[in-house]
Amino acid sequence: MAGLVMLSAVFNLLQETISDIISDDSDGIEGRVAFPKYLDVGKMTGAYIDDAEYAGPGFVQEKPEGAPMSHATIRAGAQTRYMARTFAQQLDFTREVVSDCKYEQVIEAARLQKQAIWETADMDAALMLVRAVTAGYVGGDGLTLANAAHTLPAGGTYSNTMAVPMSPSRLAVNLALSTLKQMTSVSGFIGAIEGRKILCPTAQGFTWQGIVGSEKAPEPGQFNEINTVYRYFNGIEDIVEIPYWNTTTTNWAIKTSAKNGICWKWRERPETNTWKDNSGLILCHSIWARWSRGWSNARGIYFVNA
Amino acid sequence: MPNPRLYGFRYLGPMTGKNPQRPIRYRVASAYAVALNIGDVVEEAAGGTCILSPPGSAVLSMLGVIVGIGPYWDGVKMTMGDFLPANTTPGAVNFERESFVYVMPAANNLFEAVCGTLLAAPTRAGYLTTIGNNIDHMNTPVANKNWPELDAATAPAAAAAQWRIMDFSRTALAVDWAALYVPLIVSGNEIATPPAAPLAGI
Repeated sequence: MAGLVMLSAVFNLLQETISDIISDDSDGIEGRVAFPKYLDVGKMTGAYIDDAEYAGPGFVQEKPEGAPMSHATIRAGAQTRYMARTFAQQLDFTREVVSDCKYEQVIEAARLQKQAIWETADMDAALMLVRAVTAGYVGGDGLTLANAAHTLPAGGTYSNTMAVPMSPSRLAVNLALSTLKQMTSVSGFIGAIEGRKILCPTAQGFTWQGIVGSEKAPEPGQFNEINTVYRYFNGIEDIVEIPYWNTTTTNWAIKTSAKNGICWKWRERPETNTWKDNSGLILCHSIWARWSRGWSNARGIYFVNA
Repeated sequence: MPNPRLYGFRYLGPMTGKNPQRPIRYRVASAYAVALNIGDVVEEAAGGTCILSPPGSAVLSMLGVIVGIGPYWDGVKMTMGDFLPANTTPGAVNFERESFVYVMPAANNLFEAVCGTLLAAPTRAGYLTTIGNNIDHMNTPVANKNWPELDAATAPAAAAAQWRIMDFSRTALAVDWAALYVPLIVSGNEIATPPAAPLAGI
């Protein structure tokens, strides 16, 4: 990002004297990023889209004989707006660089920029978890993603964060899943939400493989007991290590079955363009994409701020 | 996660007009004792050459930021490099060997740079109050690098400070406001781009 790639930037590539170029591996970058594995990826059709939360009438009341039945209502909850954000990058090479750089892979703008935008997307997605408890980064209800007092449309609150945080263990998963099954729904019922995936920083990956991947209980002295966590999840495929969730080694989360949890909405998938500035003999390359990410239903995540 | 200490001033784009802005070529004096890198800030020097811009320079003001280094004389031959070594000595009369740097003008362009010192109130709210104010840069020379960065400890600086703070960086990285190297977007404030050179008589 120095503004213009000139000969001095590729000074040692102007003759064929280099054995190999050391750089990032960008092969299959689109398939390697983590965010499609833990976000609900969809599309948006305009500059913004809205999700609105509505609560039904709740529990039915007992009616005394001959007395009128109780009236109920529906109530509007939080409205969540997804605004499309544009991410773009321009990479300019002088004609001299394009002509004289003997190692094309160094100035392969299409490959370099494709990696740049997909890695940016992966990081932007992870920021929802990085900032899950950071004041100022809020969803439609004005609260952080992980919060003990998310609002219910008809009044009251629910929590999607573990009250006493626990480090990864079968016991912690048991507590999380039982809490999820008791989590209050939008209308105030017991929502019976299920866990779907374990989300964790890469530092916890091996720990979770032992907890989720063992057929028998992995604790010493318990090897005859079945591993309920193994039976609940679909093996280690349900562990998602998130590379850019690197501000913690102790936090983790469970992606749940609740709809409209943490979402990724493409407005425009990555597109590229090239053009020439003929008077300056400059070749310009650009890549851009438009997306929005967020959550309409915080029940989509059960967060452990350990 | 700490803020990355990315080197120097990095061109973001023009404040007005069309991309890409073209760099301007300036000479560097023979035997100039400071190495110049892509990302360093330079200013006019007497004698028609440019030099590394020192912190808070008031007499001579900034030209802009280096984006390219021309071929230079290494004592034996003309060679290429991503920085111009200190004491490059083409000689005063060997015009074919002159050292040049390519400079993106500080005027009407946006650059991103990190703060090399902490703001007095190192919070997002603290940095927000600096937008629209001025700031000087500083250099922290190590070997051949000058590490030009914004001196947040002196912000908001005087009207004659070198840069105007325009915005926070638009980086997708999560910024740690309490730590060093908070990235800001700046534009030239005290500049010497012709014909706005502040020297008397120009």
